[in-house]
Amino acid sequence: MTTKRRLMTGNIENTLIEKASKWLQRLGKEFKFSHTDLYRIELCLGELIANVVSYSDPQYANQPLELHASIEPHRAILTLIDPASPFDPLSYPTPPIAETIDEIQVGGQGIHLALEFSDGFRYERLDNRNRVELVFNLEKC
Amino acid sequence: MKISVDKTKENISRILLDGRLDTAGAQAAEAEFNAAVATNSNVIIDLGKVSYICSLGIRMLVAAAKNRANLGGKMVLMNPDELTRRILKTTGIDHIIPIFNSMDEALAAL
Repeated sequence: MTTKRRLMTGNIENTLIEKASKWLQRLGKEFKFSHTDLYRIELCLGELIANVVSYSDPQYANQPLELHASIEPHRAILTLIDPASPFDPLSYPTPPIAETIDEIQVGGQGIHLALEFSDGFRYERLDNRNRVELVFNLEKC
Repeated sequence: MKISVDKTKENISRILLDGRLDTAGAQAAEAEFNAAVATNSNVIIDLGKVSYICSLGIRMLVAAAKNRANLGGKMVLMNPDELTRRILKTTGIDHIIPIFNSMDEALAAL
């Protein structure tokens, strides 16, 4: 089985989400991801990167974040590695479903979406960095 | 992100969003969108031309719906594509902000 690997690096700052989005769109074009697969991948990675950019301690601003892609014929594995404080997204509680408009939370859905729209999700703390691996089973194009 | 407003009936307006509700799109559109929702009593948000939505885009919709409810009136969503609809349902906001397939259904609910 052939696995093709690609890497993007960027600093933890506001423009990183857009940079990653453009990189994922190029990746999608190169490997001919379906619209649905590219949408899911971009959504999940975008939410996780936004989380790092928005909630990391300021001491990690402008530190490098890595995004690794391993593309196999029927699945894509995207790995996000950041140097920020330990944070396991799997430990984040699922937001409650609101019953009224007063109860509904304005935010807090990003990690929930990343978990729901990926097909596999693994977290580990390795070499003082957070390492989140997402698996996407690809549709046939 | 482009925003356009047209009056469909007395006290009901359609707000058409056209583009990506990604982080940059939501941030750029938020002020104009909030103003459009706040100045129209009952609003149908037409998502038919939204090609992507992330949690920040959902946050924009929820904040506007809460504001609209506080001012009186209703806000509903219309015509999202299949994956956008799944995303909205996953967050549970469809329980609070109804989603319709057509203008007739949306108008009937207002």
